[in-house]
Amino acid sequence: MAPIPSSPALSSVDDLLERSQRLEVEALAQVHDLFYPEVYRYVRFRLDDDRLVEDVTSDVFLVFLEALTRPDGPQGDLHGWLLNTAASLVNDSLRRNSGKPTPSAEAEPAPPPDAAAVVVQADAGDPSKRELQRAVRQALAKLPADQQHLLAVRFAEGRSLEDSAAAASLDLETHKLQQFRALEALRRRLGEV
Amino acid sequence: MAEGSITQALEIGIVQVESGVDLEEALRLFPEYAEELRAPLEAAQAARWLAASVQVPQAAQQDSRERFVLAVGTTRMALRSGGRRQKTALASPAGKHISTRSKRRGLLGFLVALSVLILVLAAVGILASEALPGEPLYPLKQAGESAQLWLVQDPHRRLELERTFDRRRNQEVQTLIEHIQAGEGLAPLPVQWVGSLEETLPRIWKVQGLSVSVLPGTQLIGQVDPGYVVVVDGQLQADGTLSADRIAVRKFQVNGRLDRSGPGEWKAQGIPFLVAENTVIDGEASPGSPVVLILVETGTGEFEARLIQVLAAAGEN
Repeated sequence: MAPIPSSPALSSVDDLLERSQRLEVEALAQVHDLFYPEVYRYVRFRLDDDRLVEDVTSDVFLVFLEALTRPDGPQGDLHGWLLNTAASLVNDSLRRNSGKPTPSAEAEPAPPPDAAAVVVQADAGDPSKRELQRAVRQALAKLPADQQHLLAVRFAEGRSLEDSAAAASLDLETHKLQQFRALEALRRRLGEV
Repeated sequence: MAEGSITQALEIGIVQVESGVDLEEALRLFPEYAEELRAPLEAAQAARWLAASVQVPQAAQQDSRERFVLAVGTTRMALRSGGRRQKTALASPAGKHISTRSKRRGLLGFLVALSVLILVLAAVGILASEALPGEPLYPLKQAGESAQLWLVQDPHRRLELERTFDRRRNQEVQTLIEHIQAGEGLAPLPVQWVGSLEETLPRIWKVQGLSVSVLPGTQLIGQVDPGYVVVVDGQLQADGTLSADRIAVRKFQVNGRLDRSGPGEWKAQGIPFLVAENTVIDGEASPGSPVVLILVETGTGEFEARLIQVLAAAGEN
């Protein structure tokens, strides 16, 4: 008779990854529980369609599972790997949808001429909040993919500048400059929406 | 104007705006750069506003989790059988673009795995709920408990379910001891006993009222101290005594957000816990911080944190 399996080895993220690489169900479920909200926030920051956001977020974990069965699967920084996978799937979605009208674009009223200025005063009770969110995402989607990713990591993930620089393997000063340029570009795009 | 100075000023401005400072007030901190900083700070404010408006839908997270766990099962079964692993169909257009060739095979494998899993769970529920260690259906009972844990997402419910299973292990051992005392002959059986470590005498420890033989080969895992709940994996002998192969401190993992923190007042996802001198805090813990907690249970039923790993800054939603 096989011995009763002992209690699951509850541990840090690094141990979770190691156990996931052995396809331990408990560990994989914990990975999903732990990182789903952050992956969702990243994808939601960049994509507007509710259903697409849910699908892409879910697919990140399926791609993760698939990668675990390959020799070149995720090692080390699991959080970074998941976000990079999310970025890749989001970029693919945006490329496939570029030029296509959004499903409800004709039904919705046009956003105000300068979305940034209105957003500054917007609050939760504002009925046009959905349109403003779409406007900001549309402006964001016009930026180069690396600038979108930088802003998503910085703002959607709430990372400090130091953490996001480390995640991007950049020195801090270079990352600050990239952030400055990305925000300047976003502001220009917001004025065009 | 030094490039490094304005980028640093922007970063300070962003931090100010994120902490609720008015945009104009943030610009007044750097009057020499106010004109250049206004545009990027307005964009930062818009980005922050967009991020703060995101709510993670629980239903979508639960659906994703169930889909993922089933895909894990499919993958494990396929690898175990030595066959080619079926790729699970991805839902998004980008995902379909990635795996179009195996989409149909993946869907069929997914449906087969789902059917098998449902049948297994039904069989466990009906036949194996009363099985004891050593009986043929006991592995099915264990599989059923594992499946229940896979599907529970709420940290509070998960923790309670784990404790329920701990009590179930002890009831099984007590039932087996009663059988032995009634004259039934039993071969040494692998069992598990969970409870508060009350006493540690040479070679005999007392765990939740049960005497446990601790031999030179017994593995001690973690900081095993009296007053804390431990898990004993060992062999129930024919004479009703339990000899320990392994004794580990009982740990629980809680993923979520700190509800509040302060001297003597810690909670995460509604679960109160103590912070001890040997608690490792990795990161800056504050209310709202997403964390991974490793908790141990004291003999009085309180939780104590061994590890608080802060995943990101607070204020997320």
